Amino acid sequence: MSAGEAGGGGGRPIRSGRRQPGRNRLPVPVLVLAVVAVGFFALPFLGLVWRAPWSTAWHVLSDPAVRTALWLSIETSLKATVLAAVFGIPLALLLARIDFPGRGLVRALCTLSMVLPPVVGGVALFFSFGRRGLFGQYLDRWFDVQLPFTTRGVVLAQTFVAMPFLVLTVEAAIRQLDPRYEEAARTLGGSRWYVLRRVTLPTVRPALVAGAVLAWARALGEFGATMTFAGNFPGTTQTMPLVTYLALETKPDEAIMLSLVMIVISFAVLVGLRDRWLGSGTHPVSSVSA
Amino acid sequence: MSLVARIGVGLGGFELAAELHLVPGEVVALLGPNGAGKSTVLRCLAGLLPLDDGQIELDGVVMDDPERDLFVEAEDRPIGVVFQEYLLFAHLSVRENVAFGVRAHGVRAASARRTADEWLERMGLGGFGSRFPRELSGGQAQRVALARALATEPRLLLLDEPLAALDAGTRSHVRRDLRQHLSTFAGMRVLVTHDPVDAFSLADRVVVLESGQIVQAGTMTDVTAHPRSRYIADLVGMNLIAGVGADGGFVADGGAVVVAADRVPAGRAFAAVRPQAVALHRQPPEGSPRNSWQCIVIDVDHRADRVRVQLAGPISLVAEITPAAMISLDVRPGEQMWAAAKATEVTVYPI
Repeated sequence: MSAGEAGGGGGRPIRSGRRQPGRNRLPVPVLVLAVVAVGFFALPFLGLVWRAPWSTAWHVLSDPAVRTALWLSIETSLKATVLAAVFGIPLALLLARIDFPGRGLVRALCTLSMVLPPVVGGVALFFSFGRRGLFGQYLDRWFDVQLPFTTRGVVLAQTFVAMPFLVLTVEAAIRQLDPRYEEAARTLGGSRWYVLRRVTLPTVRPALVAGAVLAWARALGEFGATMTFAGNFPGTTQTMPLVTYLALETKPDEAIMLSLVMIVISFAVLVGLRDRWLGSGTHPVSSVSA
Repeated sequence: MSLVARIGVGLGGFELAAELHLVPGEVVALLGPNGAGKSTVLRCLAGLLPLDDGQIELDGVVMDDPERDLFVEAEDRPIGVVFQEYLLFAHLSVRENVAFGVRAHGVRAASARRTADEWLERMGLGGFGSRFPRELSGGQAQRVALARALATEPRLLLLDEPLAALDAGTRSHVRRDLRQHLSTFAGMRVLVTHDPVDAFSLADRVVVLESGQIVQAGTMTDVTAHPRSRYIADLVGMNLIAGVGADGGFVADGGAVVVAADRVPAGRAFAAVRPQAVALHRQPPEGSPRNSWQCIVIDVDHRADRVRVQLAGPISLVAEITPAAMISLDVRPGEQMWAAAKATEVTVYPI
């Protein structure tokens, strides 16, 4: 069939939002399992809400130690997200676009920290970036830079575990990109940098946002690697997950309130960003049709 | 100011070998069926696909020459492309789409946007600048794509199936608009299409490409009058019979004799008969027609006020008759008929 016939057939692509008979139907067992899954996620939160000592809420939240930890968490997780984006986007482009020998190995290496127990990551960081570590000793000797047990160390640990989320998300999006748009940009005189900046990255923006959010959420919740590599010093390395974990042993009520605070923050960010940036059906790659 | 291209590409078993020569201001249509390699020619010219063999020279500057290891990147060629599905950038406004190439050439944003607005005005799209591609109709999107390509002031403009993405209803008036806007561009233009109407209405000259080879080139009138391939004959609705001319007569490949009024050249040749010149009879015809063949009706196709009857026999033919004739002769598939054509209606030309 020629393209002309295809155009004349009146067969327009079905847009989302149209009525699609059969789309809202699932086999009953699938539906039941899905509902169980939702319950599995909802119940722990309900448990927290149920046990929360609401009367002491303000008291806990106004505790200077808690506030310090909260701000430290927000500061370090945002810095880690920026670092993950600055290095992770180029890494994603490299993995998606350049066919070099050992690409699979490099990808596995760069995403290893995702599947590694965070404590193991922390130990590995300690022996590489620690004061006696493989590189850390030179950082210490030549630049007088110490990473372990500092806020910088927290950011490093968070970046280490968070960046793979951004890299994988962005790489997948770049691979799915329709290369013809970049070709069109090149025929218009766009240099590599210009095409990347004005076509490639804007087109994968939903994935960039999604990847950044995932990385940020992972950084915010980072516990094991931080604890191992950066320690637990109030004001410099004691982030919210650490405070929460310690509180659980001595003041369980406080731990519950702290957990709820983190849940509310994470939930608000996920919901807010998802609806605004990652809404369904507006994928820019597919939205161009003649 | 000219284009001289000798294009040789091998793509996994598909061999493309085509030569193109354009003089300044000329519009050439590259006509051929799907998969003939038309778009590949365009990609080579645009610099999106390097040649394996041959050379591309634009205005005396070599763009691609694998033998001398010369290759000018797509972004450095003074060539504009209007892509098949226009490929407007969905995240940019219409104005930014048109300004895209201008800014890529180092023009400041504000000035590039003014240039874009001028182009949109010229294309009859003034006031559309702040809209987004998804808000445009097919014809409007095509004009934006054209403005975007022309705004960089290319010396060669390539159009890949510019009308294929449109539905039949809008195609004719978009074609008229395109013809008008293309005429304001003085540079060379290469138009890829599988639709002879596009080629006829938009181009000065036609190059017919089939299976990676150029089978015919010339003016549209020339090509349609003397089709050199089944594809072109089918496109223009012509009956094309391959055979051999000998001793002033023509023998089709199946063995049937075809009589032509003019002298028949010796050697391999085509005989062409217009479907309107083929008459149908129930009985063996008597009278002036020198050609008559007994055939079986294969298919009957109604087209507005004409009926096209497909026939199989010593030669395959299409006859075009009126609906009234169809009814009075009771033409239906499977029927035995006699097809007749006057010798003066048969043109024979060498392959």
